[in-house]
Amino acid sequence: MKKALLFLSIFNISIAFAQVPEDAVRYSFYIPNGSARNMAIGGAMGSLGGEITAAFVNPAGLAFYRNSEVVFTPGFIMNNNSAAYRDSNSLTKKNAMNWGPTGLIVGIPNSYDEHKNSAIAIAFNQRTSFNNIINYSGLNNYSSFSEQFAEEFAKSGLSIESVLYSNSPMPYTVAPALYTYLIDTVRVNGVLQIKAAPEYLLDSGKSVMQQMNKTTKGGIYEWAFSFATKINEKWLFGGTMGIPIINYQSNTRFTESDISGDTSNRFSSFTYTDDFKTYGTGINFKMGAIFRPKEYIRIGFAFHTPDLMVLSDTRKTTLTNNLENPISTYSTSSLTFTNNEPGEAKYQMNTAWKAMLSASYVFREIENVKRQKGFITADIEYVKHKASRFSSNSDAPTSSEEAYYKSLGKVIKDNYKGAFNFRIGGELKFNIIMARLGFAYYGNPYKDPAFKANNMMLSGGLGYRNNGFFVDLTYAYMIKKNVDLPYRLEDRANTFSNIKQKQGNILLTVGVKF
Amino acid sequence: MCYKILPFIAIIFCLFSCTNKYKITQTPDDVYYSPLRGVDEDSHKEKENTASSSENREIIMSKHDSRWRNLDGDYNYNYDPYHYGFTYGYYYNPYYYPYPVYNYGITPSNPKNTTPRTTNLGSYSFHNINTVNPKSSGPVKFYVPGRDYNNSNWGNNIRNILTPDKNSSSGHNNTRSYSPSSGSGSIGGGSGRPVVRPARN
Repeated sequence: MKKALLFLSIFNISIAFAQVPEDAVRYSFYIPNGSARNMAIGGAMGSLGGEITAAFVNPAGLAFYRNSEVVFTPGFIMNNNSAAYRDSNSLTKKNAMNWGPTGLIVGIPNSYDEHKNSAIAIAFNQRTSFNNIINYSGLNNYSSFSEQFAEEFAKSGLSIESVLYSNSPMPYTVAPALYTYLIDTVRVNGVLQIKAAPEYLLDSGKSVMQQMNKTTKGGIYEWAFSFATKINEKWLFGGTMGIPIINYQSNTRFTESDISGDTSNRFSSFTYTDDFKTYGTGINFKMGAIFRPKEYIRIGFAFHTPDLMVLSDTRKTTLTNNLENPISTYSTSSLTFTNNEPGEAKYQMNTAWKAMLSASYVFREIENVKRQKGFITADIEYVKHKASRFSSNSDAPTSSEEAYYKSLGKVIKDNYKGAFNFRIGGELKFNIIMARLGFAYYGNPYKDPAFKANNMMLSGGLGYRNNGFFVDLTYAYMIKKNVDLPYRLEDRANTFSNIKQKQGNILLTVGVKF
Repeated sequence: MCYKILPFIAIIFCLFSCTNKYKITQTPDDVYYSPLRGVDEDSHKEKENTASSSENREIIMSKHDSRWRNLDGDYNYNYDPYHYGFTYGYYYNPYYYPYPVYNYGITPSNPKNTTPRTTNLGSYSFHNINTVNPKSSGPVKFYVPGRDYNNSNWGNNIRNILTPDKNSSSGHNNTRSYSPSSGSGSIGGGSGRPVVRPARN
């Protein structure tokens, strides 16, 4: 009997319902935020140093500090999104405030050797912002959103009665769909089937109108505690202990409706909403070195460990289904199947690790500010997106849990890949005024050639430094291409939307030396 | 979140501005060259004041609260934690409360549903397609990283269920068959109380 139970539990795992793989790439595929000066030079900071963003990129760069400063960086983002979905295009806009590197750097000169010094830094940064709205809609004559529920239930092997419980195993998807008759059993020619109501419409050769509205909020934040030291004029080393904080909130509303005017095809419309929140903290480490073979050349190396996160998801879904012939409306929420309070799942996640190589050329690396002329710098970075992993948060995970997350790890490994990112930028300095330009390209994390995704940034900015203060202002224009699948089916061809997010980013960094 | 911490950051920034040592000179640029800091002439005075200020604080506090007087290092032989508040008519010491604390405000609730967010991982799997290996004669199965996509309403959109090996659709099969495990409906099923569906019209 025990063997039978184990077999059944593993079978349920092999059909594999788990944390979704898209979560992994959401936390690794983005253009990280920096100070205004850093963003103006394309975000390149692997070897340059002498700037607060170094705490988040290559902490060895902090060892250039022999005095101290405090910095803060408010920012504002303006999103313009276009989405192409099944021969239709949609546009949305969303503006939001964000927060760049803010913190304190204290340089510690060596009293006995002026060629040696150290620095410590405490800084906070919003690595990326999730504030956005994505809408798309279009006719679909091939598949329905509701079929994912039908497929999930058909593969589960569970009876209707065993799913409809106040503490259900499928409380957000199948249970509401069964309760509202969006999916149901039907016997055709003696064969018992699972059928979704919109399928009657699609099987008759007609289309359903699909509309997706997704609002996301929050961001990935990070506290950095850094130490860096210059052991001589050629070598600088540094390390950061980072405390990343993930706060992701999404509200998804998907509507599917029959626009044919035919009231005899059993289906009229349904609306499914999904309120989902992820919150958690973790730890990471960043290590780096900078080598200066000549006074004006800097070569940097840095490695970032994965963020080791403990995350908690809370979720609530609602479903309203309008049927025809006869006309009837059924409505419910997942609370009915999660003991009348939002469900909560805790788990651990390791994000992708990254490594980078960088070089800078600094014109006139001398004390006299009036004779400093500028620099150029470039980074190449490798991010192993497919290295992200999920695991149970339990002290003694069951064999089914372990199998559960092992399957997810394999899916992530199969669907994502490592990607190279490039950043390049430069500055011209005219005494107290500085002008900057930069460019960055972040490569495609998807292995599937059908998914065209990348991030690009073109940026420029001005800086002013005098009387112990400095002010930097930057405008960064980002074009982020990605894909969004409203639902996934195993037994049919899938459909997806191509998202193009054009993001204007205004950053202001103000600092004071002391 | 950003708006909430903005005033706090502004105050810190203003405080550090007061210690700015480069008010009449150009701001050093650490990207190019970081000069050594000047010696703070007031630092010695600050250290002296720090020692005396902590003593002053203790004296001031002890004027208002007798417990601060016990911090002077002398042992108080009359101190008894179980008779601390006897002058009020009962023995009571907030630091040695001997009784268990009961909280009547907590009401028991149902256990939280901890089902993780779910998706069918099978829908992420790639195809094994039969294709000809140019280096050999005959079809060889290759692992192709991709799936079939249907992103347009134009063309031949026949709804077929793909076969289990995901190679192709088998004839004209649009049946998503269902066979619940007989007699073991509760295995892997829900708990708590059953939820009854509304009657279907």
